[in-house]
Amino acid sequence: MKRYMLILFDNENAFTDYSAEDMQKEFDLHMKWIEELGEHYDSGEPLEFQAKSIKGKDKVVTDGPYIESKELVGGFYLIKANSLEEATELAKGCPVLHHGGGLEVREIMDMNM
Amino acid sequence: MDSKNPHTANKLVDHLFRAESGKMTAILTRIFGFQHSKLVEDIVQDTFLSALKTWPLKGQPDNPSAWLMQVAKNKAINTIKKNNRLGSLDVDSISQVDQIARLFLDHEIKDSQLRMLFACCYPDLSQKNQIILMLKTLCGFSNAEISSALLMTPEAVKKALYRSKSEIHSKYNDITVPAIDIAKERLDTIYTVIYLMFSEGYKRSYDDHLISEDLSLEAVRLGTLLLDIPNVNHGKTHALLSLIYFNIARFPARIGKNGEIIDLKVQDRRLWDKNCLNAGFHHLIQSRQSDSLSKFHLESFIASLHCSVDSYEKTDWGSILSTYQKLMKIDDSELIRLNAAIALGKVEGPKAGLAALDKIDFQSAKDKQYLLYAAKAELYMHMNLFDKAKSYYQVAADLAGSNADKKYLKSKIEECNRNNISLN
Repeated sequence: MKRYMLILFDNENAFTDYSAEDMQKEFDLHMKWIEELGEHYDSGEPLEFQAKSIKGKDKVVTDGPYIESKELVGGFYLIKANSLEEATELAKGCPVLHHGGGLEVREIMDMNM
Repeated sequence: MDSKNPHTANKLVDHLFRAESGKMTAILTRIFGFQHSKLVEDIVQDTFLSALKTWPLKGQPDNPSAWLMQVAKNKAINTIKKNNRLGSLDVDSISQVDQIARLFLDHEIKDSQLRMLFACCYPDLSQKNQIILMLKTLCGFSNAEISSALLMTPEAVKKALYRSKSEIHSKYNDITVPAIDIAKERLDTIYTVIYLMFSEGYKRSYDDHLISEDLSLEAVRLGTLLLDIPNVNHGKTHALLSLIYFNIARFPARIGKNGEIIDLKVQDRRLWDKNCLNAGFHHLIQSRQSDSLSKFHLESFIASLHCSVDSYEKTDWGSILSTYQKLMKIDDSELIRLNAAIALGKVEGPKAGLAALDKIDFQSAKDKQYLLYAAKAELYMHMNLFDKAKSYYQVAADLAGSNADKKYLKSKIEECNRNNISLN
């Protein structure tokens, strides 16, 4: 199977009104999805919001995430699948989509051709 | 295939976040005071957000509770450090970082929760407001959840919370004041509030059994917390816990598939929750360490009599009656007298029961009056006087407040009709 990166775009404001119980249910949804992924699951990493962006030959450093991406990348999953189509189908179950968040599915290039 | 999925079989304990929210709120309020409750709420919320952001991606930590406490502690310390720079908070007395760290140790967490529990029961707050404040601060309920649990508007909940907090802040300064020793005097108030929280839940069991279970479980959790108070005779605490457990145990059998009320008489007793029954009996035995009998002792004993037989026919009405008679000496409410009259009807026959019921009127609790008519109807049914039973059920159905009760009483009317036909 090939590996795919699911890049998560969080909707930052989705949980402001959430109670403790709501948060727990949300977490359980994530866990359920990941459990369903089973052997397709590889790993995941969350990203801190604090960021610096560096651009060009002059190495201009700005605070905050890379300006051109409109949404904030909150983290990524690595999953295993046979095709981009299958990876996309699997990604559709991700609960970040319930709250106005988004996902980008990218195949990781295989160096052992 | 390498399956290193760290998430498998990693479901959180039910209501873990609520319990953790209560812990964090208690500690943070001890640090920042009631006047900064918004700040406290923000830190708790931020902590859960951190969990929600990282746990799905990295897997749930081995000790979720410790993880959350650590994050909350760091956020609290950062807030204090920022405050030391900016001077924006009026919390200088406890600003030492190591002091704050100490408050997140296990035994201090319990201590903070107990302090919070006692703070919620300041005598100047009404009982309703005490319950609201407990649900908010110790049980991790949101305003919306409180409003649906107690059938209030969210606006009213918000107002009540605001008023209670400012009252506590203006009169009592902060929750570090009532040392556990002094607070022992407030134990009886706490028992009452926990009991009320549980009965609020019980009331809601037919229109929303999830809320009902939630409230009962929180009552158990708070009651269990009390057991940590040292050098106190906990007989009464155990009696209260026993009573609540016996009632929770029967939840699964009390409601039918369509949300209808199932009478104790016809409940499938195999559905009663064994663990809760065991807990009920355990606390019942522990309750004997009291030197006097309280209302909770007697009520839990009655519940145990119902719970210890495997069919309605085997119910020990004689013991139930004598316990209700003792109970009437402590609590002479209409509801207790009503239940005593029903037990009397079982022991000495329907006529004796009816005579006792005739002496009760629900002038002070009109919303429960339908119970009186329903009890009379039931006794007439036993006497095979189905027409009379039917008309009493009809009055009861008209007076009943909840739809579930109305539906139940109407089903009894139909039962009367059927019996009438078979009689003729």
